[in-house]
Amino acid sequence: MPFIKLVKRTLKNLTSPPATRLYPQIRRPAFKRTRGHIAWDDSCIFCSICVRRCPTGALAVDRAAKTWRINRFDCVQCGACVEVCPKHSLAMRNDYTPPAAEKTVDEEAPHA
Amino acid sequence: MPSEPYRRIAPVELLECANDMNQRGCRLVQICCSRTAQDLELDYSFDDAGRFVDVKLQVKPTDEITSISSVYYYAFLYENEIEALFGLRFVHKAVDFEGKLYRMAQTTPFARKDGDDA
Amino acid sequence: MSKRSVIPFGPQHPVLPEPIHLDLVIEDERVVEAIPSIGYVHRGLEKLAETREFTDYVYVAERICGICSFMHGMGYCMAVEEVMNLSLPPRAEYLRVIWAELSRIHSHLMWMGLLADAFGFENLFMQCWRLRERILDLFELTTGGRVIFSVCKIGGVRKDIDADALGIISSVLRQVATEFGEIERIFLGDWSVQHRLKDIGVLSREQAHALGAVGPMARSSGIVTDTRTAGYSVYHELDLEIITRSEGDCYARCAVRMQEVHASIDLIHRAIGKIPTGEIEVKFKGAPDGQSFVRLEQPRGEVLYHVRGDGSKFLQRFRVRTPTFANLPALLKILEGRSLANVPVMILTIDPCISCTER
Repeated sequence: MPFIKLVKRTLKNLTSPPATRLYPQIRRPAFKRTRGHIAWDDSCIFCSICVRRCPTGALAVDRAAKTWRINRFDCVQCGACVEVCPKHSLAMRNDYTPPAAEKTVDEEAPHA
Repeated sequence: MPSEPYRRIAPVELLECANDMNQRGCRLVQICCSRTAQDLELDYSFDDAGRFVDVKLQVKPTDEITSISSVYYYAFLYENEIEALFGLRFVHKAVDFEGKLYRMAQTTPFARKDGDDA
Repeated sequence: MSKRSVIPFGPQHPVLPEPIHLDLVIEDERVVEAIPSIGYVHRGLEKLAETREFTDYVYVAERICGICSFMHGMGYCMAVEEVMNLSLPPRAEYLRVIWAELSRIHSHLMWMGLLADAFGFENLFMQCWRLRERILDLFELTTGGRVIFSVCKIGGVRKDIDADALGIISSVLRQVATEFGEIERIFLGDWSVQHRLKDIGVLSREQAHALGAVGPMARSSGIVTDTRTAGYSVYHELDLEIITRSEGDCYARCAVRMQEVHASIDLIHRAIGKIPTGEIEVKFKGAPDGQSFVRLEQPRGEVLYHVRGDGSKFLQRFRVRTPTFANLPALLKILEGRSLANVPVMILTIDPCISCTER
């Protein structure tokens, strides 16, 4: 009978909770390996290797002023910069940059 | 998976080669164009019951190549794409887009322009 | 005397999943001719290979398409590895195969949902995609991304899957296989679905060969062809099952893809059983100098990658010939003589991926 196949699923749909989550009130916990955003720490020597290898050009380094800048929304979280950094100053964190109305550029500098 | 060695043919032998492949029941896999040091190189790739056969032609950007869409109907898509990207003319295509297959900001972006090095 | 009119279909249309434009010449609700117009998503990615270092181009290659993303990255890496004569450690090859087959499953599940949506069965669409979420969670668990994995590199893979994660993949796939059986019964057995799929868009074996159809499109018309039989990567060590049907209609294409999901699940179980321990990458020096042609079996069919290098960091030429490009003439053929209401279903049965086609 054609509609018997669906009756079981329909009844299950009626009695079970929704398959979707009420985001943003309820967020899904991220996996350990989730590629969320790039974090910087001050072992950076401002060599600019990460800038050259970034496929989207999201990074900028100012050696004289000792700053490291990332355009959060140009970054595609590929992890190339994390791999090539000679001092292992960059790491991939598993939480995403929150949605915003404009593209943001984050600037990092070593603490004085 | 090592590539099979390729054959080089002259542009005049193209239609005969395509006919020959068709008689053997080969499928046309793709037609590709690349820029070489002086000119353009066309690659016609065929699939002969799983075996990959590649045929190369050396042509000049101003040449007019006979379309093989009389033998392989679907070749018209590849030839129109090459015409749009490289500006190489194919004559007697089954369906002719006249170089406007893609909407692009520059015409024939892959063609050699003045000031390009090899 | 019936009048002919032209209906423009696409690139934006509620049931059209991909931005292709077709001018449908119709005569009294029957399509007489279809004239395609592509180029809405042309991003010039092949030209970009000339300005991105070949090691970094992987990230661009895998963004050619979102659905076939992993296979594009894998194919690019395989083409460059062949030019540079790199042979990968077996564990890296097995990991690539596992991800590639998971990609195939997720792509087919997505396609099934879209097909159900095309003939108006939204509940089934949602069920397929709910099942697909499990596979996407597997991707995020192992690679960090749901759609774009960034896990292939020239010389191997960037991340390893440990034994625990392999166990999770096995158990999730077993659950997916059971729930998929339910969806399969509806697709293949339900009367209303059959009414929309059977005898629609028939492509005979001779036509499929004459038009150069590839992938499930060719296999559902009776042509036995699967690029994986060439034995690239480690497919020659895993028994392959080529699934064909002879009817050549939309129902056959749907059945072929469903069987392929089962076959891929079995293949992954076999690969997990056989995966050896060892390195996941091989280091290399230098740049590609030479050319190569590599063919893979994407979910949509045979894809070809052509790479030319001249010893510098930038590739001379990178060419992708995607399966949808090869299936487009077959699409134009099956649309002829059919009624307008069936056009979305027929377009979907070739599994169009216009992002891949236009790069």
